[in-house]
Order: sequence, then structure tokens, then C-alpha cells
Amino acid sequence: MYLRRWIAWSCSAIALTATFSCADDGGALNDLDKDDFDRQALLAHMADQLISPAYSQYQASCSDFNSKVLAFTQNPDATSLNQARASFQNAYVSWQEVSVFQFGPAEAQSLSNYSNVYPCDTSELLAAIDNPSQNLSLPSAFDIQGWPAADFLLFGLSEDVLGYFQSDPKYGHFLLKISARLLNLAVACADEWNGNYRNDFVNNDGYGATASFNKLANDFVFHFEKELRAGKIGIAAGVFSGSVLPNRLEAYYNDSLSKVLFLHNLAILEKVFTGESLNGSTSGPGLKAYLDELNVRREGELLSELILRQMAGARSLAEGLNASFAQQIEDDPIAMLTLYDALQIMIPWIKVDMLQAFNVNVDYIDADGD
Amino acid sequence: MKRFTLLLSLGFITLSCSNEGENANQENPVIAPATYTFERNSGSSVSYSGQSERLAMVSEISAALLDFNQDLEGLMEMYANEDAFGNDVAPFQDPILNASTKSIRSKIAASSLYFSANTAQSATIRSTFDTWIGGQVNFIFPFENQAAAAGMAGQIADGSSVRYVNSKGLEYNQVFIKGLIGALCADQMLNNYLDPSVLDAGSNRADNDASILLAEKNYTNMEHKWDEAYGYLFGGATEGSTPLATLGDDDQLLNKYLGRLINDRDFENYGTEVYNAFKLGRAAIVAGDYALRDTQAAIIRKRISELIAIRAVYYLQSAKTALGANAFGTAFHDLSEAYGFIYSLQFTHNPMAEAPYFNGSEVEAFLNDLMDDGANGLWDVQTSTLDTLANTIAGRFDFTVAQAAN
Repeated sequence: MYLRRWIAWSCSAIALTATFSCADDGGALNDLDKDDFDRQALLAHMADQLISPAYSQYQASCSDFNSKVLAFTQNPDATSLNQARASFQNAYVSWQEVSVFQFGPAEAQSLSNYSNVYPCDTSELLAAIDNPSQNLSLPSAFDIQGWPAADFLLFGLSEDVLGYFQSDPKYGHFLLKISARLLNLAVACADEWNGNYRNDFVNNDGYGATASFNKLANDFVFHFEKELRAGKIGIAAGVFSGSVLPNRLEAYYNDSLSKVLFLHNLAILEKVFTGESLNGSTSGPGLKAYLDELNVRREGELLSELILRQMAGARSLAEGLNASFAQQIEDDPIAMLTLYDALQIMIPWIKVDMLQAFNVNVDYIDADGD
Repeated sequence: MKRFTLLLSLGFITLSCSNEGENANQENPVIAPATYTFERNSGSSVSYSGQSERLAMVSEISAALLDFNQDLEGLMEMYANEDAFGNDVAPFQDPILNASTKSIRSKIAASSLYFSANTAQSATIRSTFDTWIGGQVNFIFPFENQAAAAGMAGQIADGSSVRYVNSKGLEYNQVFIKGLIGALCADQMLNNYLDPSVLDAGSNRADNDASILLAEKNYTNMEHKWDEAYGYLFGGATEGSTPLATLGDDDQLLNKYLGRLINDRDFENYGTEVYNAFKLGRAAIVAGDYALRDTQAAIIRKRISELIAIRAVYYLQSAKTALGANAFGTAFHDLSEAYGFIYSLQFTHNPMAEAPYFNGSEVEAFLNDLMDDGANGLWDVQTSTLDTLANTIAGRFDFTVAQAAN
């Protein structure tokens, strides 16, 4: 019911937006579409201080994971398992910092679909382990690879994960296949960001649907709505189903990781918004600067301040939760719902008010679930 | 514009009610009960179990169409609930459905109004549904583990979901299910059970006036016909007398998409309007007020017809957005749904014309336009084609493309 109402509300809000844009377009299209904000400066800052560094770091994490998996599969013992697990946790966190940037090379590679579709279909995964001709590039294989599959193999395969890997090399072979695929995809994307695509991205500074800023802004909103709000919190908390579904959580098998992943993902969204660099050492123009330049207000207050305050509020709500969201859902699902609500409040602010101010059309449609 | 139309039609209803009051029933105007509950002899007089069974059959065949272990024989048996020689079969998981004498296929394009004297067209439509099932088995199943490309069947990503398309990008299972919304549900509801040729058939009026019940039943034949219309929309609801509470969740057909529609503020009253019209029309039958009954049938016919057209336009426009983002799998899924809803347009019922809003040849022309922008069907479709289709469809109704699209 909550979702329905919201969709109805947002649909009509978008309809309003569309009406206004049409009226604008009827006038002098170019003058009204453009504004004085320097989109190229924002794109260059994002590329150099946030996106490229995040992909480089992600590639390094994947490389480390792949080598730890190799060591573990060659010599499966408690030490090598622990090292592979630690590297998995580090790399999964690093994934959170690139997952919001799914345009350009990531889009071309279907990076997100191959890296982080969860929940993992564990029965299909176990069947694939026994099937040497399994083709992992097919869309039907999205949910038997990537981090969720690695999560299952390293933490959920059995009470005695080590015993499984020691008893039959097929588990190690498959895990290695997964870690190698993750690495190859990461390299392909990082190479582009450190190579030709960086300039393509920065120079594509127009206002059309395929302009870099439109892609960036849409991905920010899409990711916030679908991945952070629904994927990491709402679905498992039962917002869309009426009953809790903890097995839909990210990192379900290593569930003490779920809160950390959420917080890192929220942090990168905050950085896109504020313009802070990946390592926090510098800052430059982000979405906030653009909104403030346009002096976008909601009930008198700067929209950017509202969004910042709400993000900080969501962060402190999340920090108060159990490190394991599965445990949190079992102990007190209401606290998860409270966090969901805090994120939900922001959706019309960013999806309607913000995108409308940027003159960016939403480029995705709420899937109707069939 | 929509609100204006809405007000107009509400005004129309009010007028009809007061007219009825003056003519027939001045002291006792017909009042609809709060819920779809009608009783006689201390028991319910409502029955639509055959419709509930067919909706459940659709649910099973829908899942089976994506079960790659199925074969043509098994799917056809689920569709017809008999084998090729007319023998009884047990293709369903639910034993109640296996015991049932009902079937989906026998009610495809089978309405009294449209098809009783047009059996040739009915047969053509049924065989079209046969070819969609055959297409799934012959042109989709063998390519389960192949990536789709222009001119090549296989699987394609729609976000993180997987869709299975033929060489032209079309999903037969979507076409089949969305086609049933028109050919089974709307046709049976609007053109059969709500039609005077069925409601008033034989001695139905005299029997209803005299409360002569069907043998061993607690309802008159006319009451039952009306309930059967109701069952094609609400027959999947656990609480059949108060189905709005679960609207959208009770089947994969009309109920599901009426549930989608009321999420759009432009059409948020459609669920209540249709439900109220069913209640008042049924109460009118109990009261013997057949003019009032028919005004309620007209409301249902109009709204359910609009539902089909709105969803067709909605998916055409969604596909445009997806094509703009090069999300071919998403676009093809939308267009496969649009294909089925467009097909369903020929079963709509315009109460002013007593005929479908678009006839079979118009529908065929739309579908050809959708598929013939290039040699590879949907892989080649132009957004201008989608806009033209959407505008043409919406143009014959009171809603706009923009209202349907959001």
C-alpha cells in the first residue's frame, strides 16, 4: 500500500513535470534547457576524484581477492580460507564505491548484473558447479556468480566450508572462475576510466538524455531508490511483501557485513552529492553545488540542505542498527522500517525536485514486477 | 479532461437511478449492498467457481510456459484440459483443476455477442493462441541457453531479470497471457455474461421475476450469469465479496492490471467504480430493474475496455524510454506485453456502439506495424512507430497518451 501510494504520487508529480517541460519547450528550447552551471567542471571532478579512483581501487581489491582465492584453492586450509574471506569483505566494500557508477564501460559490460545480483540462486549455483559447460555470460547466470555467489561459497556452503573445499576441487574451480570473472570485468572498466572513456565522459557535457550529467544524475537517483532503499533495506524488511525476507539481504551468508556495505554505499552517494573526493582529501562541485547555484528551495529551505540533513539522519539510524541486518530484522524489524522511511522521504526530493531543477528526465520506469 | 468525463458519467448514473426510481420502483429505489454479498434462503446466492478455476488454470499454464522441461503436448493439455482426441487429462498440479470440466481454450473468443455467428473468426483466434504455445516450445525452448540477438532467439537481460524472446524479440508467453486478458476475460465478461443476449436468454427474465431458481441451485440463471462476469475479474480473490482489498494480487489477468491502473492518479477510481457497478447491477437484478442493470453493465464495459487500451499505450511508451537507454531486453518485454494488450483490443466493448473499439483487422494492422519496421521485428522498431500506435489507440478513447504513460 505504501509503495502504491508513493508510485501514484510520484507518477502524477512526473506528469506535472512533463507538462511544465513541454510548456518550456514550446518557447526558446535551447535557452531554457541550458543553465549557467559548469557541467563539465562537475564531470571532470567526478571522473578524476571519485569515479576513476573508485574503479582503480575496486580493480586492486578484485585482484587481491582473485589471488587469495587462487592460494586458497591450491592449498585449502584455515589460514588461506581466512585470507580469502578477509579479501572478499574488503572487495565487497570496494564494490559499494563503484556500484553507483553504472554508465559507460560498466553499462557496456553489464557490470552490475554480473557482479551483484542477489539473492544468489544456490540450487542453480550448485548445479552449475557440476556442469563444466555452464555459460556464465548468459543473463540466466546473473544470480549464480559475482559477490553473492562468492558470499555463499565462502560462508554459506556448509557449516564446514573448509571441509567442502578440501573434499572436492570442483568448489575451488568454480570459486576461482567467479573471482577471475569479477577481476576481468573490473579491469575492463578501470582501464576505460583510466584511458579514453574519461575524456569522452567529461566532454559529453550537454543536456540530452545521453549526456554524461544526465546519466550520472539518473544513476544517482536510480541507485538510491532501487539499490540502497529497496535492495539493501526495504525488500528484506518486508516493505513490498508484507512479511520480512531476510534471505534477500546483501551478503546474507556473511551477514555481519550487511550494515558495513550499506554505510559505504550511502557514503559514496553522499560524496557524489557533496563533491567530496573518494579519499576525503579534497572537494569540488557535486550535485549540491549545482542545486545551490540554481537556488533550489523547498518550503523556503535550500533543497540541498534538506537532503544533506536527511542523509545524515539516515546514516545515524543505520549506525544504530545491528551489524547484521538479518539479526536486526529478527530482533526489531521496526528499526529497519524506520530507516527505510527515512530513505523514502528523500525519493521525491531527488527524483522529482532535483531532477526537475537539473532539467533531467528520469530514464527508467518503475518495473511493474512481471 | 478525464475528470470532466468522469463527472459526466457519474451524472449519467445518477440520472439513470432517479429515472428508474420514478418509473419502476418509486418507493424502493435499488440500493447496492456494502459488499458483493447476496443471499436467499439463508445462504449465498453468488457463484462463480468456474471462473475461479479458469483463472487458476491460467496461473499454472503461465508458469509452465517458462518451464523448459515442458513439452508441447503437456502445455496444450493444460490449455485445453483434454488431449488431442478429446480425452480427459490431468495436466495440472492442483487436483481440483484436473477434476474440472472447464478449460481455457473453449472460452477463447467464445462470447455470444461477438462470436456466436462468427465461428470462423473464433476458430482463427483460437488457432492463433495455439501457435503462440507452439512458438514457445519450438522457437524459444531450444534456445534456452543462447544469447538473443537480431534474428536469433534466446535469452536477453531485462535489468537483472531474464526474458526469452524469439528471433524477432517477441516473448510468446507474454503475448499469450496478455492476449487472454482480452480473448478470455474481457470477451466472456463484456460480450457474453453482461450482454442481454445472455442475461435475458430464454425465460431468464420471467424466471428471475418469479424467483425461479436453477435446479438444485440457490440462484436464478440471470443472477448466475452476472456473477460469472464478476468472476472473470474477482474470481481469484480469497475474499470474493470484498475484493478491492487485494486488487492486483489475485490473478495475472484483469485483476492484476486493474490493480496497476488505480496506482495512476488519472485512473485511481476505476477499481471502485467497476466494483460498485457490479454490486448495483446485481442488486438491480434481484429487484427486477433491468434498465438499471444495463446501465451498470455499460459502466463495466467502458472501464474494462479502457483498462486494456491504457495498458497497451502504457507499455508502448515504457518501451520508448527503454529503447532510449538501449535497454533492449526491457523494451522487448514491454512490447511483448503491449502486443498482447493490443491483440486484446478486439474484445473490448464500446457501449455506445455495441462493438469493439478496434476490430480484428485494425488490431492485425497495428501488430504488423509494430513488427515490420525491419527484417528483425522488435530489434528494428522505431520510436515513431510506438508513438503513432499509442496516439491512434488513445485517440479512440477519452484518455490521453500522457495520462496512460505515467
